[in-house]
Amino acid sequence: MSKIGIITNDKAQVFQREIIAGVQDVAGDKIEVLVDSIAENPDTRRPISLDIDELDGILVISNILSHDELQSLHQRGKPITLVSHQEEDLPIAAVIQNNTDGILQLVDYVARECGRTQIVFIRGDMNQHDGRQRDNLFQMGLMQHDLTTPDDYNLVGDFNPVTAANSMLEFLETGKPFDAVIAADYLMGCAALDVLRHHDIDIPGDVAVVGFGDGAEAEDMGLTVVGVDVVEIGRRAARQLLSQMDGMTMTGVTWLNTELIVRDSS
Amino acid sequence: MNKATRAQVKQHNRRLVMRALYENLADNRAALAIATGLTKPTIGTIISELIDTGYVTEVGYGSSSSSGGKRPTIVEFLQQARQVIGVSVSGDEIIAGLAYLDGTVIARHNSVISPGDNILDVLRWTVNALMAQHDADVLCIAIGVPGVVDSQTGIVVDSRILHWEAMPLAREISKQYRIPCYVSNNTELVTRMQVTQSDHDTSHLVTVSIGDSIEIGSTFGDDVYQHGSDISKLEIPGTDYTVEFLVWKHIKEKMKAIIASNPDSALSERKLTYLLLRRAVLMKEPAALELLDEMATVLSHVYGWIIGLMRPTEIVLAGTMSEIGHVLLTEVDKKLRQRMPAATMAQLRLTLAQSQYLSMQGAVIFALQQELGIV
Repeated sequence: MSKIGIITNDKAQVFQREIIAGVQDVAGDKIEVLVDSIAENPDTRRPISLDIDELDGILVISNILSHDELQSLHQRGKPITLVSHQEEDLPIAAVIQNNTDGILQLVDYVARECGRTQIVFIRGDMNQHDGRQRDNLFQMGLMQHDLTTPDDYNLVGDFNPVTAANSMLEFLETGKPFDAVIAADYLMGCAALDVLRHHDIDIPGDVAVVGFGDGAEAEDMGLTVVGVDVVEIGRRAARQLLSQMDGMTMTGVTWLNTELIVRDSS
Repeated sequence: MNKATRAQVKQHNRRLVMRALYENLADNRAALAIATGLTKPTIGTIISELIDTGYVTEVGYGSSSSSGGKRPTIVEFLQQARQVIGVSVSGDEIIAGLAYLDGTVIARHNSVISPGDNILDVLRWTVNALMAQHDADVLCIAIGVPGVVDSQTGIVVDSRILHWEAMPLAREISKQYRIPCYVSNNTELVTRMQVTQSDHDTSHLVTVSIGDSIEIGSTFGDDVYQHGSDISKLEIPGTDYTVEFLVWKHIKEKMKAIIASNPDSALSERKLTYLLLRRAVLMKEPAALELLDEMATVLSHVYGWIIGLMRPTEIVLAGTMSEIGHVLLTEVDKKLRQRMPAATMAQLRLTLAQSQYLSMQGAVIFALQQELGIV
């Protein structure tokens, strides 16, 4: 029986859990899937415990491994697929949700469909590829609509709902005018929406709120999002890895589509 | 009638039926006979074959005619019966899409071409990545490249950007994946996409695609003229410019020069793009306005040649330069009006095609047209 190793930070987190479910869906009972969750405590990352030599292929979820670690794995000749991140100067294939289309779709929707011009952006973790990329794309989206926002309209979020809620509160206290909030992920969008509703701000009349990605929380709160089917990302990543294990060479990134889901918040 | 001709007639009839179903012109055998002009027995044979091969399914019964005749069996084209791969190759990147028969791209794959890479290898690795994702049999692959292409033979005759001469690309790819492969010029594919997407007359449309090369694609009546080519080396009369002034690497150098002389320029804020140049223009930075004027001067000459020779009703600016948007087209329009007859300009639309995926999407459409005669 073939063996796939999944290396991730914390297998219990929603995103990681759904990716692993997608991989297991494709693997079925013909391929053994071993999961190594190496940073369940973010402050004490431990070394990889999987026996790499025993594995036929490796999936790495998010940017939990350093460039050097990935390079070292790659040099061992094992098929590797990166999920939700890429390492630009290493020839390792990846499967990623389409940040580009997703964020540009959100900005286009807020600016063109909703007619909003004073947009607050809640950033992700700027130490992560996804965080930096979504921030750049937000700026690009503004330029496409000939909009600009002051620097203090870019709020710290760190992909953490509590941080996002605090930043939203602080921004409200400044009294600065705004008519839309775009959050770099839906959980931060939910947190901002919660804060705004508690302050009796008319949503979406006065402020439209949207976020990237989708989940039960967004649906429950009526948050407009661009949705990503995370389980499907897991399935596609598994297919990419299995194909490499069958001897197919590949590099580059497979991007999966996002879909705008309009709900009550816009 | 020899065997080959009978096969051609059979294929032609099959395509007529598939197209009628694809475009919802008819949904049962009798209606298909009327819509295509084929006999009912011929329709019956073709529908049976299409059901056997999984392209068509029977989905129930329609209403009987007013005279109370037998209820027709409704047949439906299955958009998910097969998939195709469309690819666009440029000098620094390959963009490919895996699509169903309705043209919906379900996965896109991008590969970067680095200096020294074997482009054919990168192309194969890109196709491999999408082959890994197919949900239905992949019917064929269509590839767009910059440069001169013989679409009949699938040979890339001359691509300066890819450093390919007489490259039998269709044969190479077809041999590896054992499915048909079609090759076209990238700008022709963008034009094909424009024609497919447009809701107005596109019979006199010209696409000017500007990125790392400058290429022209045009329609010829109801079809796309398959002789697109690179015009970068043409000289602009009375100036020191060649059309190559417009390629991104030159514009980027000009933008860097602006930053060097004015570090506070809006261009210094982030990675250089045409969008950033647009921002600097809208902020009325003198150096940015001057660069825009130079670009409009050269582009208006190119458009002037096209208008003089071809009298199109629409010229579409595509490629990365289209990101700069209407600020450039407005200037081009002003300059053209100084030189061209008012009556000619009155019939001309200058438009933008802003998606970076148009060539890849055009390749998907090209694949469907070549293989099934649909879209």
